[in-house]
Amino acid sequence: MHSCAARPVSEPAIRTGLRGRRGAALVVALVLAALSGQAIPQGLVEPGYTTAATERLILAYEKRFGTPVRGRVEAWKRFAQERRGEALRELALVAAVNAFLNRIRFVDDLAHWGEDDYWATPAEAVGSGGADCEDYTIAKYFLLRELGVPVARLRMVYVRAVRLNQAHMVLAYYARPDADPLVLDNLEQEVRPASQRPDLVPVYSFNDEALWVETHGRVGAPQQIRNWAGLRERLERELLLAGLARGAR
Amino acid sequence: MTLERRLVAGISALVLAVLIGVQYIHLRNAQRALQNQLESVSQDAATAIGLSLGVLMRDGDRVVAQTTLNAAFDRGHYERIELRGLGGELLASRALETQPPGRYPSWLAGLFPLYGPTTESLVSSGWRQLGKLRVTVYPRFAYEQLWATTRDTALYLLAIYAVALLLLRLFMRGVLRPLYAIERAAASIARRDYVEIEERPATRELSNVVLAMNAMSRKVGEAIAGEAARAESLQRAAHSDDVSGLLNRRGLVATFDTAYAQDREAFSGVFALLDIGDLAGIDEALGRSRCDELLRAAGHALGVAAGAVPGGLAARWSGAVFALALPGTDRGAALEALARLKAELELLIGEYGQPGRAAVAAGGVECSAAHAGAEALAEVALEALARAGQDAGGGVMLRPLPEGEDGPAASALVRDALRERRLRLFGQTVFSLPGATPMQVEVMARIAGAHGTLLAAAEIMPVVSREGLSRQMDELVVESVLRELSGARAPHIVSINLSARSLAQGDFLRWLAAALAQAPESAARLVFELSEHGVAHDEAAAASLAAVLQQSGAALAIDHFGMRRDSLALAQRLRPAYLKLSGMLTPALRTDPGTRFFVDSLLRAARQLDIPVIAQNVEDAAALADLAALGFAGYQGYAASAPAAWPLYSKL
Repeated sequence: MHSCAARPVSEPAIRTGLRGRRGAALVVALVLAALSGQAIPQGLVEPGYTTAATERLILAYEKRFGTPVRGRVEAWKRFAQERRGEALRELALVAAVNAFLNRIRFVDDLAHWGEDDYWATPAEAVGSGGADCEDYTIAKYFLLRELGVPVARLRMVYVRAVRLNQAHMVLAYYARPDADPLVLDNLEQEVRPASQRPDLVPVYSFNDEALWVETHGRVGAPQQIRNWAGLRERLERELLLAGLARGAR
Repeated sequence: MTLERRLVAGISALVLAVLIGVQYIHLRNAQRALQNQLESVSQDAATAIGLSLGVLMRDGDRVVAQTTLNAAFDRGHYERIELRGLGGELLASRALETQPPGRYPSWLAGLFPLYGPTTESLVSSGWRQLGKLRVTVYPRFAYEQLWATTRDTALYLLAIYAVALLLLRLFMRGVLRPLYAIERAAASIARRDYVEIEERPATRELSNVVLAMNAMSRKVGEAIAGEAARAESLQRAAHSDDVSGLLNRRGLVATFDTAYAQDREAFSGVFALLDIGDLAGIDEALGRSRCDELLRAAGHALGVAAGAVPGGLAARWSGAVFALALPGTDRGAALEALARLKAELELLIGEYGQPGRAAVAAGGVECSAAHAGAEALAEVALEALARAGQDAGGGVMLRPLPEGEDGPAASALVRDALRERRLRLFGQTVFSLPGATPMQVEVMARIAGAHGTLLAAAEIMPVVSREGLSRQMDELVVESVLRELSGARAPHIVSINLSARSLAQGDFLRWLAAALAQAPESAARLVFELSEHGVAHDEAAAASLAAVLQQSGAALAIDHFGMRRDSLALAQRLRPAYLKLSGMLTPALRTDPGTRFFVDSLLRAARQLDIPVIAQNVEDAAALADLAALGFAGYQGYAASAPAAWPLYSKL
């Protein structure tokens, strides 16, 4: 099974994100928006996106994980909201996303989810305030996609963490297909090129696009990476939980 | 189609449909599982080859890539494997040039299609991306597996089907067996044979049916037995002499005439009368009861003498006169028998202490194929008896029957007519009662004599009988009728008289069956009549005839019915289509209460047996209402319809 490298130092939980200047500014913006009667512009709703984390989902997850859920999820939604539509350079965005999501506390799957190898949805990871290496990678992958980074530039990579001598997973960002990728790792706050990460040995990589089966013209969900298939199912369920029917989008 | 066949066919079709459904579902599931397996194979291959390429072609070595692809491709599971670089350029590929035929029929692919899925995986060496790998699986092996499954399950299901059919058949046999018994009983009842079903079915519905049918059969059977017993006792009372225990004159006439005068049979033998002479004196001397005793003893002696000859009859003709009919007996034997009987009776009178009054005379008439009634013969015998009384020589006198018209000339005429097949068909219409509408036609044969005159049956039959031409006659009539009927649109039943003598000839039945088989449509309209006497004479032959007729669609009827004590028993055993009551009984119906009572009893029993009865020799239209009230289904007679020349259909 998949074991996961943990960050040596535990970071403060995500709700500390509210204390930043940017956080205060956002609260002001939100209040202003609420007073002016203007809704926050709704982005594209895809499973795993912040836009899928509706009030109903927050309430459901509060019930499931406890009270701090709302703050964490709202901060996450704001993070995406602030950056949507901004002409950010992708490199900066990748770094921001990595830093933002790395604030989630590292927890072991078995302790957190009661399962040996549980691939949590971004909303689960953010809402529960705990994640392991795959959960970070998934959350970063979906957030970057939501913010406009093409899938072709993103790879979830099974790597060997040489120093810890453990199986691990990171997200790689390829600015060009033949580029030296940037590595988004929950072990490192800083995003560095892969060439500067001799501590990681890549083994196998995939993304959502390269994981498909085409049968007689019909493209189906891949069954091969069972955990990925499980994740997609939970994402669909989450949409229902959020009150967003698939067809409503 | 029998109920069992229908049920078995229906249920087995249902089972077959279910099994085909099971087979279909099974194959659908197998198809789905195999499709998933194909996708797994495809993904596994893409992942595995992608991983090894990442390790092997670190420096982008195309030859290594091609070799790796070759190694994987040659396992035979793939239709195409290709590796493309980052820019989409083809780095290495393998594809099936031609698709080798699989070991499965092509319709399988049409019915349960399997698709070779295509999967992609990324190939990278370390962090460096090398390209994309596409793997398309070739579904031949999956089809072969599906075909094996198809055959296996089909085999299993067929075995299950066969066992199910076998069990079903056994089950149906068991359940329906009582029904067959009921069906047989119903068929018997339809033939007026009131049988009871012995087996009680286990199922409630059938059991109730059996109970009801048995109760009905028993009731009807009892009623018929009662009527038959009554008719028999009436018959006995009317036809027997209380004192001697022999037939009375009426009984003898009825029996004799039925056998020889009415029917086509003729009498050959001796008809004699014996006169005890001074019976009045004996009566006076002995007293009534002793005299009756003597008569009883005399009757016994006559009965023994008659019993010694097949078909022999003995009767008390009048007070002191006894009658004896000895068919098939020649002059010498008859003289001997009569002399012995005369001596016996005289001895008997002597034993009763009246030797002086023992003067018995016997006079008889010697017949050769005579078609005359008992009364007519008795007249001749009386003359002989008178001569015998005068004749001191022995008191026994035999006279030959005076020659009538049926002399040698008539014989030659009939013989020639039969040989030349010169037969004229006549028919007498039988009318229904009540309503008097034509219901059938009885065929009568005539032979054209000299100067255009026609010989009637009464003239022809003695000759036919004497010359042994019965069979030729019957065959000629049957052939002629069949010829007349072919193509004709006769709406009515046509009845033909058959002679018992013809039946006695073994191959006549075979001939008749063949003749009828050639004209099945005409056969269905024919009824063959046998005289009651003829039926009683050889009941087995009559039963064989009935069977032959039933097979060919024709039917059997009994003519001159009601002259025997066991008439009803005969009818019950033979199940004729109808009965024609002897014409001898018809005139007495209105005058003699005894006859009327007897006939009423016969008719009631026949009604229980569901056999219609037709009155013959009805000459008085005024009697029709009475006949209908008695229960006759029809009547025939010269008054209503004289025999008319064929064809008659225009009149019907």
